[in-house]
Amino acid sequence: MYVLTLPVLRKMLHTAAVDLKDNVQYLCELDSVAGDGDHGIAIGHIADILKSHSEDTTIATMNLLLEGIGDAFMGVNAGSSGPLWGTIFAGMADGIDDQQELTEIEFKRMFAQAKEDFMDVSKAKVGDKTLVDAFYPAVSAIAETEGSIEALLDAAAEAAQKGADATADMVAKFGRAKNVGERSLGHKDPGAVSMAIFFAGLAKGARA
Amino acid sequence: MKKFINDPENLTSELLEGLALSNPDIVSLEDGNLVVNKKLKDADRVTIVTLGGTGHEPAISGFVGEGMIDISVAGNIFAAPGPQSCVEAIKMADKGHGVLFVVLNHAGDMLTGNLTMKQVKKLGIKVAKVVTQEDVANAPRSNADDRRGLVGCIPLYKIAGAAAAQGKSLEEVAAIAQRFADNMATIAVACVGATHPATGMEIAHIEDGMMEVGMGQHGEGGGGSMPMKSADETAVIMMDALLKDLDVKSGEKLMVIINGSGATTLMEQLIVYRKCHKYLAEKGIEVVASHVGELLTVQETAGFQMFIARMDDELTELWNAPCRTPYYRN
Repeated sequence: MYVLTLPVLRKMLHTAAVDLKDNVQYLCELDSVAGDGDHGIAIGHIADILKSHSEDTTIATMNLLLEGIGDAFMGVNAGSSGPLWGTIFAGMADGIDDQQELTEIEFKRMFAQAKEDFMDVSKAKVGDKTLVDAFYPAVSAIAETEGSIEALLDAAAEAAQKGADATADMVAKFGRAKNVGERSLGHKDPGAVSMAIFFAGLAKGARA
Repeated sequence: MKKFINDPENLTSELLEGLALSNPDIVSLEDGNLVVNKKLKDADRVTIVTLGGTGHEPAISGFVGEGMIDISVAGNIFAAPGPQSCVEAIKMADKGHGVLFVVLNHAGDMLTGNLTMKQVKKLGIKVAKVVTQEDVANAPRSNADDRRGLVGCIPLYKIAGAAAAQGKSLEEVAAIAQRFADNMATIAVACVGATHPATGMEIAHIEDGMMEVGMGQHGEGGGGSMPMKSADETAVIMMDALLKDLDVKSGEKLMVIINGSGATTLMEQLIVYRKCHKYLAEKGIEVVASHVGELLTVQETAGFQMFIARMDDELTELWNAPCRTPYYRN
């Protein structure tokens, strides 16, 4: 597919929501290594919002759908994940016009804007062992890959997974986990893992 | 985990409800997570707004009331609230004199703080942000941006709240709060970790017979692990680190707070305080303000935070000014 329609975007987001929700417990366990064990709780809220908004067929355009999700994420009172994911979705909404379909170029522009807005807000850099380590490679892959929207999403999912896996070999340099230093070695960053699950869900949903 | 709770999902909402119900003349609970000073509606002055996760009771929302915080925006357990409710709180708090917005230096709180500042600027509300970052254990003073905000926010609310009550301008209140923030230091110790009340997971593990100096707010490690020591020995190790950090000299005046982290008894806290006070006296340092007890806890963590701040006459007067909140009154 070279054009993304609103129903397909809904299905992508819905698939990601279900996969994130299935991993709530796992994400809490991952977070208990270097954090305080509650990342899954925040992701649970995020998954619920993604699910309910993607099921709401009264939302008429992609822009409204993404903006509504971003606003709802900003209202999640469960740590950094809400505002960070909220910034990504607000950026995606900003990157497109109020439209029903996206060409592959517009699809790339949507993620390019999300990346720009996100990097403007996040103080973490690649290699700091945060969700940036999955998000940045994923959106870079979308920018650099040529082909169908499925191909772009597959590349993003693969890059996000690789990035999340690589966090196991990193010592946290940002956020709460930073304070445990070397103890974070050998364990993946939960924020990067949830971001990888999200991109994998988008890719799976696009093919469903 | 043995805790008297109901559905873990409702920890924050239920504790905030309990706080409001038990202090009906001091605070009200609005929009689910805003703890609001009952007298805010009549305020004609600079107002004070802050944010933070729950699970640290009485911090932070237990210090809402006249002379301290006007609105506390509560997040989930150990988790910052999102920017949306902070923007609402600042809009509600602004009485035309501007709002002092106090943010503790933790990644989630800072992210929400920065996003909130962006939005309130767009709305044209005058807001000054002060960040508390006084943990001496996890970064040198030269790298203060990496220092966590610990119990120091509580006396800062008190001092800023008193300055606002005197009718000072936002610039003046912010300058006083910043001066206090720049002259404070905290170090924490823990000997038994806690469990996360929502997930039941152990959030810090400390071996039997050991203690860890430099524990964070949520039991994150950060300092050195060492065999358990006596109250006096522990007090001296910690006070030395604080005095060195702030470069306190003989003849100076200090505020000293011993803040219990949850499972350390008041008995122990008083014993530690006693040593601090005498140790400072030996060095010719005068304690002009003090508090011993639980202000900011971390569930059932055994340990305490030791806090000092360099005081002057104005800060001491503001510390002694009247205030009325659920968990601190003058």
